Amino acid sequence: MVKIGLEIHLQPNTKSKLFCTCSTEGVEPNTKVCQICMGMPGSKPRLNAEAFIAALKLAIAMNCKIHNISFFARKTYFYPDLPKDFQITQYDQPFATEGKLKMKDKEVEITRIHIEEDPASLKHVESKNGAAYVLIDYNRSGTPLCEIVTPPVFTSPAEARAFLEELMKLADYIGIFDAQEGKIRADVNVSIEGHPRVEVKNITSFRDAERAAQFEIIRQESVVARGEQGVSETRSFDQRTGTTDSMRHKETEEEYGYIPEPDLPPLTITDPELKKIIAEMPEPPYQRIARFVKEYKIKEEQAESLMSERALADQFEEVSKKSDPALAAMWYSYVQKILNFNAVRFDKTGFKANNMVEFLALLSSGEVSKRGAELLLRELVMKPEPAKKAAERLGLLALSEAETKSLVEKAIKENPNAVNDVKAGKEKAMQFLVGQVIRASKGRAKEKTVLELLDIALKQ
Amino acid sequence: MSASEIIEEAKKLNEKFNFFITLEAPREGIPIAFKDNICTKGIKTSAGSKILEPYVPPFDATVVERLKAKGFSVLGKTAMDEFGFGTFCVNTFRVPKNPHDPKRACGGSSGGSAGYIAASKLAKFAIAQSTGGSISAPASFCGVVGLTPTYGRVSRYGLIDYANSLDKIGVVAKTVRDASKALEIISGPDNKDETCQGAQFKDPPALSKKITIGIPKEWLAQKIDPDVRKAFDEAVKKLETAGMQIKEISIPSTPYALAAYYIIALAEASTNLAKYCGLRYGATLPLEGGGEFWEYFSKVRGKYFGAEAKRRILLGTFVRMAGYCDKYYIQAQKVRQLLINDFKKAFKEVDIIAAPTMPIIAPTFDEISKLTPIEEYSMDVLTVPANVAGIPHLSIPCGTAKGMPVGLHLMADHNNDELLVQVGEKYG
Amino acid sequence: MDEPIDKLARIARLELTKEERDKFAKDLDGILKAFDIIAKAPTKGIKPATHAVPLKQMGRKDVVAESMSRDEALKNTEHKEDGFVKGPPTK
Repeated sequence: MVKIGLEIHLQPNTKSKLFCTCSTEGVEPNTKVCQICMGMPGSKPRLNAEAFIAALKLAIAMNCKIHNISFFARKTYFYPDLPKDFQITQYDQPFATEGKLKMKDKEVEITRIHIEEDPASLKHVESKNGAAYVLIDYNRSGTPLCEIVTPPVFTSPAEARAFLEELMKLADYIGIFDAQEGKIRADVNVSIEGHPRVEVKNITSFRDAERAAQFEIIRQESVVARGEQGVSETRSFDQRTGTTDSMRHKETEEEYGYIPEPDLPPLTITDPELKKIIAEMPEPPYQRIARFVKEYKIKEEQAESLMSERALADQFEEVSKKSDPALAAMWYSYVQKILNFNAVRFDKTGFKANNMVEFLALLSSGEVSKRGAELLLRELVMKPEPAKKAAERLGLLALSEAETKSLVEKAIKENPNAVNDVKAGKEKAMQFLVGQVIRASKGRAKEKTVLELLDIALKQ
Repeated sequence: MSASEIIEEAKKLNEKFNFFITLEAPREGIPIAFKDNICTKGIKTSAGSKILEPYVPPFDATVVERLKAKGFSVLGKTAMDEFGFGTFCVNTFRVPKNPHDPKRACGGSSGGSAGYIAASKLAKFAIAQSTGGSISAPASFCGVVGLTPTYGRVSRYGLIDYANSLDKIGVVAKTVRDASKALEIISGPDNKDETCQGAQFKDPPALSKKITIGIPKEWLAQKIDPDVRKAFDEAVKKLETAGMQIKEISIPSTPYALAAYYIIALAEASTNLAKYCGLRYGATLPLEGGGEFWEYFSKVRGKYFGAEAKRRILLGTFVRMAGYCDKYYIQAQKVRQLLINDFKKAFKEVDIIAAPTMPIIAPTFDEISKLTPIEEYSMDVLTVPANVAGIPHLSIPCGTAKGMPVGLHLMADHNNDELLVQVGEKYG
Repeated sequence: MDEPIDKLARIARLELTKEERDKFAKDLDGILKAFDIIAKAPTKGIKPATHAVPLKQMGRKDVVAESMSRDEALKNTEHKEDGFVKGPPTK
């Protein structure tokens, strides 16, 4: 029996840090720092209210119990990446507990969610004479983190990984996280039958979370098989080898000496404030998928794929007021292919509902052929403009009847054998001629019109 | 009175009494003294500790900014017990002498500020700070006025922390009026300090209402020097003559106050002092040969912290450890609530509470060296209740005992600082 | 005191001499004995007071303000290299 639990740290997309107004985006080391995030004596923390709201939204989306009053706590320990040698976090009174992440076929229990500040980033260096030291960059220090903890409810590494993907999508969907660029990491705790729980840290990707769990299971199995006593400990994941190693100097729970953070008032959210935030939350994805299938009569996979970004789902509904939803759903999947190819977020493209409505109208009226439509949409998504104008500019609009007629006459003239074959009753020859006209028109001739014109011309 | 006169006088006093750790020579504004745990931009700020001796803050504390905006400048940084750890201002590298008798201590931890105000003929006020009585104690020992406001009415932004839920910045001055005017400048909400939510203090008009004063019976029952007690009794008579009604009240949680104070203060202090480890700022050691991080930190801290700081860090670490936290730290927080409840009840019966500020006169350095830690801590017994409860308190000189100043301690309910000052002024 | 002084010194990262260890162990014993009185305080039903006065939620908007220059930020330490703060090794 494998039991896996997760401790996830997710950085919400705030512009400034949790307790100071430094930017969360620093590149050159120690350029986005101040007395607060460097822990200089005399400095005091100032809570970023929007970081708390982002965390609340996540907790609401995961159906947690929200506590009106909770407390920040000081977790005191010594490490070069801690500017104050204590971390402001939440301990025994976090703001959210007892939640559920509703996934497609199941519900995953959430133990708790809280907010805390990130330490600085450390680089280990060895100088030429063999002396080792660390280089510390405080740009990361003070960045807000949402910590999400699950009980050991996952029975396989793949299951744990699937949950991480789902959580990340949800955080993106509610607008607090960018699934492409946002920072999220997970510690994994694993125990198999007969072996105590082991925590694995230093995991930097979802794939590594899965690998770490896989290795731990194998390692623990071999400990048990050898008849040895397993140790409950914290281990570090080695990305290069895919293995876990024992960590030294692990502080045990008793040594953090938690006290409520005396520089901050209790973390408070009133019921009216909470109501307001809940009212502004989008419909949860699992609910929206069911409604899309029922209301718009689209396929479940199409509905699921529309949830990849909230802006996509929102726009689909707006477009469906004016256009055929089934057609729209089909073409939004093509939009996603375009986005993936260009590695860009939908909500960054500037592509609006009316762009899609115009595009679908051109398609429905036959003014643009299916092949032409693909080319057109590729342009429109990356550089939005009125659809007809773009189609014209790109030479994708269907030919007029007169233009088609001249091409038909040309094709007849250039393919006398095929013409004779048509007159002799051979179907395939007709298709050949149609193909010739369409090729000559670079896909712009409407097939129906070509057929009609050929028919008329050859009946003579 | 010019800035240069103030600076000259301060220099001379400093040579004689060691009031200052750093002395500046500002060319503009009225120079005033700040306790050395208050950050002054570009001027060394050590909090009386060797571990911060080289530190130069890149920012001003809010109280410094507010005073500068009103035309004041930084005269210098005054001597104090390391991080505020002390009642006599001897736990530090620069020990000030009591101007009334240089063989005696100034009192702590704001000893330098109080001594300077007592000795100076030019200075009207200096900025000080209290956690458990560190404005009142030296004010009492040096014979000056010490005003400690309600917790949260003066911003702690830029104050080097001792205990965040107990620290208050206040004023020592020659007269109550001077203290009051200074408090008006530095007080008021500051969004840089989330615990500073109290209304701005306004220098009040003269007292016009009838006042009842309560004297806690449990406090008078403490071990108080008989001459100090005599001076206090005289002060009480003077209050009666001024038209105030005197009655006896009870603060039943008194026996637990000292322990609660030290437990809360030391627990918080042990976390506040963790940041001093040789990185980023302060005294340091070479990295080469310093060992791994846990060794290196231990070496730096072992070398530069004084004995009292080490003792308090060890105690503070202990009382918040898992397994002991409930018994000590959480219990002490509950006692804080008991004390607040006691005071609230008392202030329904009386307007102001009075007691002697300290149970003794300023001791000699020799006497201090013979005290055990717990004996030293016990000297705070009369000041800690008000400090734990965060109520405003005012120490006013009231006569002498054995030739040394004695302090009368007045206290008011939360946010009644204005009434406190009015009564203090009336006393005269 | 129920914990060895060495353990506390390790947790608090304080390197102590033997004399210090002996003295502090004795001091702490005496002080904690005096502190034990709070166990007698009538705290049943009392909630711990984290502050002396009630404090309401503060909190600022998510706006970015200019940061300190790197030179200023690193001015107070001699341990620096290439814009980083240099520190003792962790392994």
